[in-house]
Amino acid sequence: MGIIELKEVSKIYRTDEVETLALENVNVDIDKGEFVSIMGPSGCGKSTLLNIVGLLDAPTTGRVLIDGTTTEGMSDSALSAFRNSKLGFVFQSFHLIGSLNVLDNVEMPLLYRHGVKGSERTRMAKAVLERVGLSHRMYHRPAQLSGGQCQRVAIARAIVGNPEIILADEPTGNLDSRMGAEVMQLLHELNKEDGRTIVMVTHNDEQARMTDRIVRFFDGRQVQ
Amino acid sequence: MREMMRQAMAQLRSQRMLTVVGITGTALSIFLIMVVVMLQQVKVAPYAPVSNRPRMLYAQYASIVVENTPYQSNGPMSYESAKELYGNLETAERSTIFASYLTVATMTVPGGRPVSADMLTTDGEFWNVYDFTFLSGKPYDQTAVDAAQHVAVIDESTARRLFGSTDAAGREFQLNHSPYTVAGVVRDVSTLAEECFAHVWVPLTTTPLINNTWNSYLMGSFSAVVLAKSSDDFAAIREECDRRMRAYNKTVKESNWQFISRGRPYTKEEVLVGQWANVEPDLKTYRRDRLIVFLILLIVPAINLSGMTESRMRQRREEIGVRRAFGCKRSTLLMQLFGENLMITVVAGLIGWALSVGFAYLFSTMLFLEGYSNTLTMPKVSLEMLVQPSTFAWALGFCFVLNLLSTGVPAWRASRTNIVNAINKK
Repeated sequence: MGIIELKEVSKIYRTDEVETLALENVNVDIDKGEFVSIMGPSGCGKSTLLNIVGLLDAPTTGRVLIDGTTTEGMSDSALSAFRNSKLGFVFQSFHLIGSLNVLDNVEMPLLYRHGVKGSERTRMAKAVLERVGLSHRMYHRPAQLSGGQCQRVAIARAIVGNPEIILADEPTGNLDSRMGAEVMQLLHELNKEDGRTIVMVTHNDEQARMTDRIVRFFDGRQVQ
Repeated sequence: MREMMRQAMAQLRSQRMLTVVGITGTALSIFLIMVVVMLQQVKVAPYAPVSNRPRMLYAQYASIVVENTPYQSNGPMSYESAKELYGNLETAERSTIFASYLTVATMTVPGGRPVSADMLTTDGEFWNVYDFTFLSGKPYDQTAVDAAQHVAVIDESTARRLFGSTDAAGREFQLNHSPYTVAGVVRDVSTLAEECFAHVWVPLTTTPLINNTWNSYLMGSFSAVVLAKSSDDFAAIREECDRRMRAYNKTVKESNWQFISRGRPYTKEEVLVGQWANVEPDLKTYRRDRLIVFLILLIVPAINLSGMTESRMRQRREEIGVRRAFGCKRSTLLMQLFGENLMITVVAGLIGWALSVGFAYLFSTMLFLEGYSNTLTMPKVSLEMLVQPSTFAWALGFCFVLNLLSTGVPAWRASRTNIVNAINKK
């Protein structure tokens, strides 16, 4: 049994005038500790798939199981708690909160976890910032950091709650090659050393080849 | 909580224009509404010498009827009636009887210019019910009242005008051509403490007002105020007053007049609501009407502020999406947005409240001048009168309601935003 299971998942976006099939009958199983790349041309449904796996969006049909738990019919409250404990997100544009400093950004997921005190939150956030090599920047604002540093903060935020799964949507897409390599190295460390499952959407063949498996999409269909 | 404070501060810093406009708008709204609240609050709030207002019941007027006829009379009581109806009540701490209205008196000292003053005639208990601040001397007591001694308490302004000093206890003067001795000098009283305001107070037995009666000596020129041990005793006091009234009605049966209570004695708020002596005050309707006025005063700025809050939410769309992705529940988000805005509203509300206190203090004459008044003295307010826990509570309450009205819909919409769309700022 995989830690992520998608069973006959389809996603249709409907407006008053048009109906767009974003995903069609997708079946994907990802094992615990696997590093999987999702590839395909723009508009093929990669990000839609990642959003569905991340429980940010619901499939039109089909089922999503995370760590053996079906997410269908979960309340917003249950779904939020589930996301908080099981999933970490890394976005292409980092999506750090500009009004908060680095430490507060990293602490943020722990705010929504029941029973974690303020001092414990700070300790955990400092520990992951140490790990991504940014403890000297914890009181800086995101605007004061480079792109690579921002993405490392985003990774720290994704792992601070110790989730089993990290979902990365083109994590190096906004970075130059050197910074991109640093970020990829960090993701591989998290996969190899911590055994975290990583699902990464990418356009970069070289980066994809370094992962355990590549799942390819075309026009909403899984082709590999 | 810490996160909310931090986020609220971050919001204040990051969206300065919106913050300035929002805080100014909220502060002005709270300022406006607090001025309206203060207009009423100064008349019911406790402050010296009316510090016991929350424990006071007022029988400013009485009502008598001829049974089975349309004849009735409503107005101040005679001293005898006031004593019979409200004197020495068992369920109350004490009660006082004094003139229903001020009379203008002329005060002179040998070689001095005549001084015109507002005079109130009282019993001895008056000084135990109201907490005047004595600058010199002491009040006259009931023994002096019963003996019709020509003693007087005067306020400090009158003391200065007459004697050039507040140290005037024992000094003699003429009051309406009768000799009086100053028993004590008190700090000036605001006209807003309307029930006990005067420039000079004398025993009610020393002026002809006590003989000014009509309707078989039942009605006259006096009011009564009952001081309860606690406001919890009001019901018991009213019951005792009703018993007293039934007993007194038996003794005055031959006059054909009978007293009816009309729910008296009233609280200070009921006195304010009561426009006429022949109609029982309708506190419920008055409060409802005030609530409607306050809501209208709040809704208008709330609609404007709501637009700004919506704009703020739009700017924070991405952040809201990210927070939701990392496990923030809709309800938590709603509370967070509401809490953050409440903090900003409270800051603005405090500014508005302080502005209203300052405005009321500086422009008290214009603000508190009554259309109909017993006196020509201009109203003055002190900070003690304006800075009341009750007005402060009102201000905070208005902030909460304003925040609820202006943030409720935008925050609710933000909490329902599709996470993916929010993150992608769609």
